[in-house]
Amino acid sequence: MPSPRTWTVVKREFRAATRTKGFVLGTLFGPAILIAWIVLPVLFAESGGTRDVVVIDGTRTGLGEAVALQLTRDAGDLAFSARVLTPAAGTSDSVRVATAARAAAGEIDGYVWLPPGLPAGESARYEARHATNMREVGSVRAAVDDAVRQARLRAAGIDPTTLSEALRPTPFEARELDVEGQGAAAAGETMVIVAIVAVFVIYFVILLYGNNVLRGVREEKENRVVEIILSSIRAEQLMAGKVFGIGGACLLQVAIWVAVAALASAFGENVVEAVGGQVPAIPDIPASAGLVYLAFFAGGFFLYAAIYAALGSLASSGQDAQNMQFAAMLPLMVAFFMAFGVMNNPEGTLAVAGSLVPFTSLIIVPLRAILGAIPWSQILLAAVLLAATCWGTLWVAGRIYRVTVLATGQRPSLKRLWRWVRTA
Amino acid sequence: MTTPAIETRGLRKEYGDTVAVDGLDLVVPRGSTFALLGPNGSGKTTTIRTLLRIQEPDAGEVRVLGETPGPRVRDRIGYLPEERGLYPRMKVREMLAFLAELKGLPPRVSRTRIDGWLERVGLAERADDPVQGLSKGMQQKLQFIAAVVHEPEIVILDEPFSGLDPINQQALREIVGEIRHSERTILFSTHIIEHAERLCDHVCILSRGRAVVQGELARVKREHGGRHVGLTLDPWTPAAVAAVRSAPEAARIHEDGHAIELTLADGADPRALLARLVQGGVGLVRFEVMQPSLHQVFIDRVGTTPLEEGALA
Repeated sequence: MPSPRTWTVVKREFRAATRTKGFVLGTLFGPAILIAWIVLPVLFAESGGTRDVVVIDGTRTGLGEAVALQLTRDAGDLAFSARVLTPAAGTSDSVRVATAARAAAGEIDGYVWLPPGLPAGESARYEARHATNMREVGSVRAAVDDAVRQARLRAAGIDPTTLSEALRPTPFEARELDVEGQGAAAAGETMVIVAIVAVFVIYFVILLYGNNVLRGVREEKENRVVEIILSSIRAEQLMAGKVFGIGGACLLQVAIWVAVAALASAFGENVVEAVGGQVPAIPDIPASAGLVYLAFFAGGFFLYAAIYAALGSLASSGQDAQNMQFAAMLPLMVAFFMAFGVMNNPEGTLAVAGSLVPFTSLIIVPLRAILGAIPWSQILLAAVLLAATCWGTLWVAGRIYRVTVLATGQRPSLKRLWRWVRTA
Repeated sequence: MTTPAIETRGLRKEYGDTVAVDGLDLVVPRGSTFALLGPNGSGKTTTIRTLLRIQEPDAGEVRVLGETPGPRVRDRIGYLPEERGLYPRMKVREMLAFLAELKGLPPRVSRTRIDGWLERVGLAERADDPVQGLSKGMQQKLQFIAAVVHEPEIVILDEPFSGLDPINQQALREIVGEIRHSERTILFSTHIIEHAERLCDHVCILSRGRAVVQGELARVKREHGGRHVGLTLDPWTPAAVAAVRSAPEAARIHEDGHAIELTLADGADPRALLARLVQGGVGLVRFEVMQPSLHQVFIDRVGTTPLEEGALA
C-alpha cells in the first residue's frame, strides 16, 4: 500500500492525466472504433434492389436460359430479372449494339454476352451501368460459370446433380483446445483476431502512457517543481506516486474500453440485427483469461513505467529524452513481434521463453491465455517473475530517480550512474 | 539546554571531483534568524538540500530539531528553494493545497489558511487561475506561501528576494519579520549581504564548502572590530585616494563616494596610519576606528565579494 504522501501524489497525477483533452479523446477513440467496426459495414452496405439484365446467347445452345435461371434463382438482397435473346445467325453484332444502346439509355441495367466459342473457352462479358459493383459482377460471373460447367458435364455424359452431391463440402471447423483438454474454445480464426487486438492494446497503451510518465518526469525536472516536492517526500515516493497515478488513468481508460466492448457483445447483436446487419462472430473467451490479461497488463505497465520514469530523470533535454525512449521501446517491440511467432505455435520454446522473461511476459502470457495454450503453473511462475522484476526495477529506478532528478547538464556515464545507484 | 534547531558535524558532499561541502560544522540556534552567506558555488544550496534529505551527505551527521531528518521532521520544516517551479497547469489554490498535503496538512484545514494567505499577498482573485498565467513574482509569492502555510518550526528560505521588485521585497521582509517574532527559526541563504545584515541575528559565511565565520552577528562584528577604519576625505582627490591605497598599514580599501572603509594590515597601528596621511597632506574630516560591516567581514574572510560569481570556483 502506498504511504499517505505517495497517495497525495497518486491523486494529483491521476487528476492531471485524466483532465487532459488527450485522455477524453483517447477514451472515446477506443469505443468509437469498436462501434464503427460493427455499425459502419451495416450502414454502408448498399441496399440490394433488382437488376434488369438481358442475356444474349450467341452460342444458341440454350446456355442463355441456363444463365438466366441461375441469375434469377439466387435471390439474396440483390435480385436479377433476366430476359434471353437468341440472335439469328449473323445478327449477333447488331443485337449487341442495340442492347448496349438500351442499357446506356437506362431501359435496362446491363447485358450478358455469351459468345459462340464460350464452351470452348472464349470469354463471356457483362456490360452494365454498375459493372464496378463487386457483388453484382460476382453474381453474374457465378451464374455464367455454373451454367457453362453444367453444359460441359452433360456433354461429357456426367449428371451434374450426381457430381455436385459427390463434391459437397465436408463440414469442418477449427477449434482451440485448452491445455487441460477441457472443452473447446471459440473458433480459431476469430480467436486469433481477438488475440492480435488484445496484444496491440497492451503494446500501444504502454507505449502511450510510458511516454506520458517520461514527459511528466522531464517536465518536473525542467521546471524545477521537483525540488519543493522532494523537501516533503522521498524521490522514490514521488516516482511511485507518478507511476501509480498515471497507471490508474491508463487502467481507467482501458476499463472503459473493456466495458464498452462487453456492452457491445451483450447488446450489439440486437442492435446490429435491428438495423439489418450481420453479427460478427464474438468468441467466447474464459473470464480467467480476462483476469490474466488485466493482471499482466498492470504488472507490465508498472515495469515499463518505472523504466520510463528513470529514463526521464536521466534525460538532460527533450531531444535526449526522445532518444532514450528507444531503450524502453526495444524490449516492448521484441515482445510485440514475438507475439506473432507465438500465435503460430503457442506452446513452443519461443512461447515458453517469452512467458518467463518479464519484459516480454506482459504480452506473451495474456496472448497464450486468450488462445488457451498456457498451463496455470507457467502463468503463476511468470507472475512471480514479473512481480519480482517489477519490484526490483521500481527500486533501482527510484534510486536512479533520486540521484539524477536534481542533476542538470550532461547525462552521467553508465559507470558513474552505477556508482550513484549503489551509494544513493 | 535546548538542542539547536539545526546541527551538522563534519558534513561532506561531493559531486564527482568537486567538493561542494567540506566538513561543515553548523549550529543554528532555536528561534534565531540565521543567514547562510557565501558566494555562488560555496555550498549553501547543497547544505540546505542535505538538511532536508533531498540529497544524502557523503559523510557527517545532520540533526534537525534534535532528530535525524526523516518524514516526521520534514513536516516541521518549510522550504522556499532557490530553483523555483510549480506545475504550470494546476490552479493556484489546488497547487498550494497539494503542497500543504505533502506536508501533512489535510485539505479541509489548508483551505482556510491558503485563502487567508492569498488574500494577504494580493492573489485572492487569482485562486482559480492556472499557475502558468501568473507572473514570476506572483509565482514566487505562491512558493513562499507553500513554505509557511503548514506553520513549520523552521523556515528555510534560499535566496527569497531574488526576482522580486522593491515593493514585494519590502512586503516579504515584513512577513519574515513577523515569523521572526513568533520565535520560529529562519534559515536564510543569500548572497545579498544587506538583507542578511538587516534581518538576521546569526550568521555563517561559507567559502569553498567550509564555514569561515559563524556565530551571533553582533559577536562576529565585535571579533572583527579594531581592524577597520572609516575615513572621509575633504577635498577628495585621486592623489589623496592613491595615498590611502599605498599606505603600508592598509591591507584593503573599499570606496563609497568620499568615504572609504579600510582594513588594517596585520600588526598595523591605526595611529601610524593617521600620522602618515596627515604628513602626506591628505585632507581628512573623519578618521574612525569602527566595527566592520558584514560586507567588510565577508570580504576579509572570503577574499572576494559575494557577487563575484565563480571567483572561488
